[in-house]
Amino acid sequence: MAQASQFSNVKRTFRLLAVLGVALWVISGIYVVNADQKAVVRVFGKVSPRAIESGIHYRVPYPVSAVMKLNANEIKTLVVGVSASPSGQDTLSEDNLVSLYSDWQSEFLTGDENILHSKVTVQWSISDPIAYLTVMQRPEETMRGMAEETLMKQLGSMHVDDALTSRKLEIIANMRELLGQRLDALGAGIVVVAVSVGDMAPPRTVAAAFKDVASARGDANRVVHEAEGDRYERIPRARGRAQKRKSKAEAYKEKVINEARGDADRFSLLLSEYKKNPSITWRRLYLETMEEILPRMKKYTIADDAAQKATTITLFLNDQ
Amino acid sequence: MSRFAIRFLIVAAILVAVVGTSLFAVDETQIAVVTKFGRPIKVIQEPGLHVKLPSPFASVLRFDKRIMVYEPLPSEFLTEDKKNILTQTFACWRIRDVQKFLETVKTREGAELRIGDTIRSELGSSLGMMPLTALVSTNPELVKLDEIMGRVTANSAEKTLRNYGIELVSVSLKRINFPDQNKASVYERMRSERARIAKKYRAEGNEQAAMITAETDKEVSRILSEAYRTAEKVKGEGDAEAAKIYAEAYNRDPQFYKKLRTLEAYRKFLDEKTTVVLSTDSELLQFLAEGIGQ
Repeated sequence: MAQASQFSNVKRTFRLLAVLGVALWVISGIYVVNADQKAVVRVFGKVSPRAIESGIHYRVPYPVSAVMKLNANEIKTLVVGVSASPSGQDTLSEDNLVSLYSDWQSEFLTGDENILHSKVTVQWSISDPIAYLTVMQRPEETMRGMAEETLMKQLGSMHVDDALTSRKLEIIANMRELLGQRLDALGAGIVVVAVSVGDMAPPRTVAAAFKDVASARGDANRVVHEAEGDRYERIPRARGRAQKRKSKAEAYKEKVINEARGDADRFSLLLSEYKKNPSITWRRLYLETMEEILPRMKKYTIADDAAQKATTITLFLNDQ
Repeated sequence: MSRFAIRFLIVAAILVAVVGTSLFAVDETQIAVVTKFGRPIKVIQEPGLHVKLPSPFASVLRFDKRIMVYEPLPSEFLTEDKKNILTQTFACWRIRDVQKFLETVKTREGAELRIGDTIRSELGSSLGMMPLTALVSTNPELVKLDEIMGRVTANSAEKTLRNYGIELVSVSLKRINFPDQNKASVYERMRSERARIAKKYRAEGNEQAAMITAETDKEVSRILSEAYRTAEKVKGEGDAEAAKIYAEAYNRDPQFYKKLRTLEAYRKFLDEKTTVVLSTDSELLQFLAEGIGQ
């Protein structure tokens, strides 16, 4: 009897444990998806038709179903053109060819067969978690390959100068579009958010030559600016000189006309007086002049008419 | 423990083993192959719960059916115009015919080896017929990259599918470069090209500056000569006007003007160095002799 009761005790405990275990198992099916997450639920490996949005959810626990949460809104960064490709690097280092590819990861050929070091950053995020998990085995590596391919195509059709300067934005825009197209074509569940060129530079050994082109461009600009500056200085100066010359001419004109008017007026006034009494006036004028000029001269008086004719200077003193 | 209980436990254990090994889940990313004593008997593409004979009669092999990426080692080719180039491709592939895959390559490593070989030989025969400008050129009409890679992909895909059950989704060229031993000459070419461009920029700058200076000279000369012309004209106008005024005034009595002007001239040119010889007949001395009172 005591044995039977002991047995029933064990039985009860066992049953309790079993119920508790089942309850725990059932409860373990509750899961939380955070606001920035999306979840994918698999039931015996079969993926739910739609991604689970944030909130508290329930699924039948392991081993029936499994939950995988993804940071769907997170923007991830992929850098193209640095020696960071893990698979590629590993296989390379195994090979004795490794010396051949010293700068391999960042070197690209331009359309005019120049070598450029390029680094491009691709920002991406998951647009469709189910596709992201089920379409590609290594989405990031696949995307890296595609990004490098699109970058190679862009640079491979450009002049090195354009790639370094004016068409950089075009590279970015085209890469974003082409990469997006390729990912969409595979249904990868990835959206390219942004592409930016981190670095675009010629190899170190030819950097000086590239720099010299830049300074040549600077030099050219400088001499042109100097010539323009010279022009901006000389033309106003010439205009100033021209104006001065014209003003002087105007002044001269005014002066001679005024003087002429003065002389004419004086003459006219004198003439009207003279006309009133010509002989007296003339004599006065004549004598005043003589009075003024004769004192400072040497004078000889010659009575003889013949001698008079021999004088070197004939003065019109006599011709009233 | 009773014999019944022991018997119950044994039966339960066997039941669990049988059920546990005959049920299996196939993931969304997988293809499963059920083998019977190592021989494939069934391919399961559909994800979910499936049933097979219990172990050890049947077992399951699983393969990833997602798109995989493979980057073969860079390989060197000679283009039609005898230029050595290094290329790196990357291939996207997935298992299409799992039975053939299992029979021929079995593993991912084996598959990559085969894919690499196939691509290399296809690429070699394609690139050998092409000049380098078909791959990189500033003239977009010459670039036949998409065409070439399209053909390489199509040919390789056909082979891998037929031989290994592998679907090649894409084969792309992701890098073209010169081998290191050729780079010295490439750099030299780049350098001389840069030097030429630098020289050109400087020459063009000087040319433009010279043009500006010449233009400035011209402009300055024009401004000054125009000013000269205007100034001389204005002066001439002044002179003409003055002459007119003089003429008008003096014409009123030319005789008086002549006399007056003569007197004025005397004042100017008869100075202390002048010696004057006066005739006794001269009017001046007549005044002297006769007295003014005449």
